[in-house]
Amino acid sequence: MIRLILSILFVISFWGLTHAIVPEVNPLIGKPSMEELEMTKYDPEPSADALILFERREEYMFYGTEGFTIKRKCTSRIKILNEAATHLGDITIPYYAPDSKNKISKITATSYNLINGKIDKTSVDRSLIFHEKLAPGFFLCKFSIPKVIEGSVIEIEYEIDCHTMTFDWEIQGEYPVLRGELDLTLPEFFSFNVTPIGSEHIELEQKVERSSMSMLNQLINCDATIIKASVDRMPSLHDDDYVFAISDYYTKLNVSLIGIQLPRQPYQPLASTWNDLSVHFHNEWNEMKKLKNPYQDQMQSLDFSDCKNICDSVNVCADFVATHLRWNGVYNTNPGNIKKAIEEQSASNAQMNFVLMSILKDLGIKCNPIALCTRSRGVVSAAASMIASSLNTMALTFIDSDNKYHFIDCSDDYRGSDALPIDMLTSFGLIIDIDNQQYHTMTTHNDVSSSRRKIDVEIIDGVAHCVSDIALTRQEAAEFQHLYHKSLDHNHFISEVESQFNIDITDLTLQGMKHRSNNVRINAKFDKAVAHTDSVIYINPMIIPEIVSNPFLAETRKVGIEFPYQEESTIVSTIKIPDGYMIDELPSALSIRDTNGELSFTYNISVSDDNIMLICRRKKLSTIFPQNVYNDIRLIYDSMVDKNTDLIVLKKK
Amino acid sequence: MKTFITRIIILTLATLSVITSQAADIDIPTIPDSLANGANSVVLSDYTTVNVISLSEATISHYRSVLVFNKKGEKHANFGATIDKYTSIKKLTGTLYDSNGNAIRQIGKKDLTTTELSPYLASDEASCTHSFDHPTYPYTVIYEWETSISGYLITFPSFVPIRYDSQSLLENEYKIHLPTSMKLNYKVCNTVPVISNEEVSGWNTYTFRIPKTPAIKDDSYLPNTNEIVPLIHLNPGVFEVSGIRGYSDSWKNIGIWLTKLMEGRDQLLPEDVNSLKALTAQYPTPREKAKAVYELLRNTTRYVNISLGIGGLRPEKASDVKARGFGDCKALSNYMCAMLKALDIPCDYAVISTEHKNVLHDFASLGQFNHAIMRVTLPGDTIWLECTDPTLPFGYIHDGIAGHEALIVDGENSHIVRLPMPKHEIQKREYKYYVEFTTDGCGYSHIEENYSENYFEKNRMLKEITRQETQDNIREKTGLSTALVVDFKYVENLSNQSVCSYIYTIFAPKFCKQSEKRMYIPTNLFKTDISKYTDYQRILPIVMTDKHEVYDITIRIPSGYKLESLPSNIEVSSPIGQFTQTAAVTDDLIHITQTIKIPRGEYDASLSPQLAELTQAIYDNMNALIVLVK
Repeated sequence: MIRLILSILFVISFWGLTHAIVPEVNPLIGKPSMEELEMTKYDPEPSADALILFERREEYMFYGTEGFTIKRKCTSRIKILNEAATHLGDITIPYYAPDSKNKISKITATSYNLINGKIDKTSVDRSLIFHEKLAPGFFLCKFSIPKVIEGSVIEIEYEIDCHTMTFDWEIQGEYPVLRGELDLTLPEFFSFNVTPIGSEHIELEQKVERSSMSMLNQLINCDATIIKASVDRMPSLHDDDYVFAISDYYTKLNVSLIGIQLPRQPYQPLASTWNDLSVHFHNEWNEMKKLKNPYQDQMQSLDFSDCKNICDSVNVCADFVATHLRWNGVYNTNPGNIKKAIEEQSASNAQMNFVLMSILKDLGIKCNPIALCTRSRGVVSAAASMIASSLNTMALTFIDSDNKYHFIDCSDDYRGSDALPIDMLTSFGLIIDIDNQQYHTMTTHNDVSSSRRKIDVEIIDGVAHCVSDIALTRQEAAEFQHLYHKSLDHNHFISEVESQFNIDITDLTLQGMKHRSNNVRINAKFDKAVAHTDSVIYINPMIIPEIVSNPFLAETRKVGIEFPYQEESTIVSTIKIPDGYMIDELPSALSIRDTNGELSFTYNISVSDDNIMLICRRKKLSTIFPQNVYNDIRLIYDSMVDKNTDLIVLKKK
Repeated sequence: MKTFITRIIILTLATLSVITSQAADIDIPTIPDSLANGANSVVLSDYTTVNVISLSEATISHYRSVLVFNKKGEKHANFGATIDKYTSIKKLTGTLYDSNGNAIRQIGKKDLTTTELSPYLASDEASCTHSFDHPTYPYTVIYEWETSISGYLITFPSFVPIRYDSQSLLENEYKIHLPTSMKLNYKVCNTVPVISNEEVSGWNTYTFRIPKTPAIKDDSYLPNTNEIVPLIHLNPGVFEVSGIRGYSDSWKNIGIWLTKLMEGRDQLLPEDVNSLKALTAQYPTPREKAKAVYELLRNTTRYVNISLGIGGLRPEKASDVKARGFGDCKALSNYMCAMLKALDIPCDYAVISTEHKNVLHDFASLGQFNHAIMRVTLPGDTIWLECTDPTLPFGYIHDGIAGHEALIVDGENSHIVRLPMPKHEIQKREYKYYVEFTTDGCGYSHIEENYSENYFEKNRMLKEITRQETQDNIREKTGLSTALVVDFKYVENLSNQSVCSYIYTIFAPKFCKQSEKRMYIPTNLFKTDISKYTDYQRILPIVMTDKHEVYDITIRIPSGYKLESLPSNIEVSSPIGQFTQTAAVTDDLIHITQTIKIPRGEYDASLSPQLAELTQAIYDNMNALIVLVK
């Protein structure tokens, strides 16, 4: 009997240790459970500062005086596990209201705290609900729930009217979610695509029921598709330095309106395919076909004498546009009132690009606009039907004599052809051939940016005297230009470089710094102290190492690894062995790469007469590495750090 | 017919005059080298005229012209103004001129971008901005605008014609016209202006002109901006807001006015007072009671800012804070005071600046403060409390206010005091570690990190973190990307000072670089946060904050290895600070100590080469390697 009891106790404790305890799901508003109030941590994620106990959205579509409308009811119940999350009691709800009327209604927000065993309930006072106008038509509704402290359970409910034709039910975020639910009522008059996205499971149920819909204040009976989506124990996902948009990795449900057919009206399709999108952009950009070069009389001032290829010529023209039009900080696709922009000399990137297109047309260089979604907005999902609203900017593309595609955007003064702003380097772009009513899709990651460094070194009295020749292309050249122009002047730049790399520069000349050059050349002479004793010299053959620490320290990773652009780097370093010294130790060679060969590193060192030569190559031929190769990436970076800090040892004979 | 034609002509002429009454071209003055050198823009002219109508009303006309030399200076010419319940922009024009002074473009008030976006829960402020984006340099921008203030005239706009580094100043004038009875207070900083005053029929007109001023270069370790740029603060000697009259001739009178403004707002409900008494009954001393109340504040409130109308100066009622459980710094400090007063514990509400250490003793104005705190005054014991962050230890004075002057708001007893500042010697970060290697190059290290005073508040652990997070943090700190943390302890000691410690042991397969014959061990695993300073034509004083770092490192030489290279003993000393390093070997133990001592202070620009030398020595030695050879 005792053995049986002990066995039962053992099983129970073992069960407790191996099964995380989570509270029961409680969807009821106004009735927090003691379990919720008493809990102090969420076992599956013990360091979580808060737990979304329950989140529900009910979406009901109708056709009102403002057209297609979604009435959305939002309900959230949140447990504050740590005082670091008390800010969750400060609520901000953005809404769009072109008529400046408040679109948020039926707000209730309450905190519950357990005080001396009793539940203390405090609701938000209506006088403490505020509205802020951000810009015409765009508002924020703000309120703070009283008495939100560590241990509180807070509940928020409100209704909002929106007119968006596509939205994501983003149920994953910074905090874990115990239970999430979405109820969609889709009257038969609206055609939708509903697409789950992400790696976690979303439970989906669908049925058709008899329902009704409000149409211009009349109630119409109809069939409706009822979709219920739910998730249980959704883990949190945190932002990261090597991710452009964390929302790309969230598990979510995309809901997109693809067509409307109201009673006794023809079917009104909305963009649902790339073909529909191309029609949309053809229409939006049709006028730009006829745009005449506004600077025709100044074209003679353009100097193409240094241009070796079409990219150089396009760079000259882009630079010319930038001397006449200042980028106003706006990325968009619609050229709007381009004449006004030209008059005022202040333009969006789309306007600048179309002006460039008109100039290139005069020069006989054919180019086409390409619609893009900036990376920080997230990846454009091919499953999303309403992609037009995602594509928020554009660039130009042109073809060289080898039929190779090139890209240019005028917004950045230091970026020429094939050096689009990093936020525009995406996998999906829609090229519109506006003359021929054609389109095709393409990635704007079209080329590898390179850095080639050659250094000749002579060591005298513990100082490495170096002569360096560096060639940078595309993004590398653009990044250098940005860095250089941040300094007060040339001498200030030199002193900043000296400080950063711990060197003394005796001479620095730069070439290719004008006209959005894709090629920058840096010639430098500098000295660097080397570690030494009376009889031994220690010198890093790279002289200035590139990678000295591994950015990937975590054992595991939940999301992919994203890099700004494809790049390759080559260092050729030649070190003359000083008279009276011999080689005591040389670093070993290394060659390492990932399975697909998209990230590789080689390090080879050789000796010829009294010279030691290092040839080191690093290649990154992809900008996105999936999460399942994280360990490989981490290992490669570890090896790169290792070799970047290797030392040659020279000993006195 | 004639009349009709005449009318047509008049109408046409009128129309033409409207069309042609655009901005006239201007002459761009020649900028002397002394003002052009190092400047990305020049303020060609900045004229402000304040017309005081009454104690609470004024109109202000502004004219500001900026010549932009290059891309770095383009934001210098932008327009920005804040409006609120009391302040509005009545009219505005902006004109852009090319390098020849030809007017290119003109805008009006309707072209301003206005947004109410704020980081607060609620604010009645909105910001109005505009910028001319022009592609060719140089260009000139002129904004002329008029603002109206009604109901809230506690201070006049300060005259700060230079608003950016690399901006120089040419012509300027600040004129203020006010009733003699109102009296003008002003304080001139960092310049010697020409000042004139004319009194006519009970009205005074003061005029201030600042001399032409060259551009200030941005650099590291600079004094606060208000200690460098020429500026003039002004306020009325008497003011009235919400029916409460105040005088700004002394800090005492400012304190009296604030006291009146806050009257009656420190009352709590009787049941709340009773709860407080019950909560603190078990504590025998006032200090212990105050500590318990501070803990209550921590457990029941959070920071939320509502800044509406006079709410920018007057705290929310204590009873409201109690009911809501949130408030801003004023509200929380006032609430804390209310609770202590209910327990008969003497305390004061105080206002302070987190940006500027010193107040202007000869110029009393509320604009010098941006924060509120409170003080408990017990016999022989003064305790300052930061009420917006009650996670700080009771009585801890954080870096944002330590050593700063504050105004005690206590009616007739209002006065300026300076908060204490921990001595340099006790503000310290200290690392002590011992390293031992296995035969295959793996390293074990027992490490102790100690942080005291200002280092304490930046490094304290506010909540438990997972083992994985701990390990990741330590890997990042030490640069040992594969280190495993085998045990970890966090300790706080608040008895005499505020100290927190991290004590742990790590095991790292690659503790150091290893070649066939050698081991390269970092002299110091940890990195200082002192960056290398490069001396580059410095003119302005050097301002240093306290830096005190001590490293004590012991390394056991593994068997089969001997020492090949060891950093040397070094001492670099200057008026700014000191770096010392000792390195010694005893049997198979290498012992290294490194100490950085840079006391807070202001130093002459001529010492910048010494600062560069000091930071260079720190950089070189902390990044050096110990080399062992087989």
